[in-house]
Amino acid sequence: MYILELIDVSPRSATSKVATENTRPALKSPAWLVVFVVVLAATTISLPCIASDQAETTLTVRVIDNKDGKALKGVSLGLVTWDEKGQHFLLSAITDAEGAAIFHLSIPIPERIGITYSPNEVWACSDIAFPTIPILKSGIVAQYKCNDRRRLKWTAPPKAGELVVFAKRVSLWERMRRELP
Amino acid sequence: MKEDEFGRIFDHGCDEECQYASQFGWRFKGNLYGKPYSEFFSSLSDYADWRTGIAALPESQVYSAFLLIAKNQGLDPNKTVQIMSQYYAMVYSVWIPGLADQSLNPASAKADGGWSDPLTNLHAGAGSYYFGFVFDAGHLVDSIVKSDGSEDPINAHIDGAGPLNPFHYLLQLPSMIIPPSPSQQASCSINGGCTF
Repeated sequence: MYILELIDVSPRSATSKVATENTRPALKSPAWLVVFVVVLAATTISLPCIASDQAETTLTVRVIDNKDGKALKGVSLGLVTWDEKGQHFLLSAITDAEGAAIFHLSIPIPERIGITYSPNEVWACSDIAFPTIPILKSGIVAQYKCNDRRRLKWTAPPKAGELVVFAKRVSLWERMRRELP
Repeated sequence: MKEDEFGRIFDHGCDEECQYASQFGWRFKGNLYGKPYSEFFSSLSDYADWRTGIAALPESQVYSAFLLIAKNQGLDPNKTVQIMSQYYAMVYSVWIPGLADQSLNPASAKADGGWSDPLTNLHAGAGSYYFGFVFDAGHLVDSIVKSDGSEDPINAHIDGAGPLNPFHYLLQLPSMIIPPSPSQQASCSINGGCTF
């Protein structure tokens, strides 16, 4: 949002003037036209830049159960991005009934993203870092890393803006065993 | 009238109740869970209320767990990192997704007073270290890549009832049937504490 203000720059007046008989001739002069065109061009050119600074891109991460290829619902998911200094930033979301967690990436789009899961909820069965642009352009189905691949039924093609990853839930017994010294 | 460093105004012309008040108080100045505090308490009870209140804050519990990982990994004390935490089984679990190296440093864990978990097979092979025995025992669990290829990051939590406390098994383990709360992110640094 911006304000385009018309001001009187003549030395005789320090106040702004609404278009009157006195100001109309000034607007017709070449100098005013040049200023008007420059201001108009500058604001027109800067508009997309301002818009792009505030824009964001949506990226969906779909978490699939390694056993049956069904969506993993209610999984807490973190999305990691890194800046040029190596500092990392986090976004978090929970998967819905379709196993999808939606993240809003701000512009500029990070070169890579990372996926993180709660160690209380799931075991990761895919890589945890991916290039962002291919996900947004055509989508990525992550490589399946767990050994029980024969049990997985996942044939759907990737969709633009979507990353499909595989995981398996940590069982209650596994969680309890961790607390035994 | 006199003003002390905390902005309290003392009127030495004492009123009727003042004669029964103690002339002593408790002053706390220092860091707790990475954050600086400067407080004055008129009684030890007031101090205890305040102190336990701070210890019970989620950010304090998350900080304690974060500290286990940060010290073990030798993180810069002044660097703020973003972490994930999750309340589950009466404790806040913490992990740091952006760490370049997710493997536990055994030498550092021992140097910090940790003792190795003797039954690592129960952790699917992930080594872990306890920092304490009965109360408020830290538990640092190594990252793991299981034989089937699945993996988990290094993570830590503080067990209010430690592994040698019966309530660890009577309360904490049964509470695991309650599903974990959604994980949340926080910013933490060793010298600055944690903020959600």
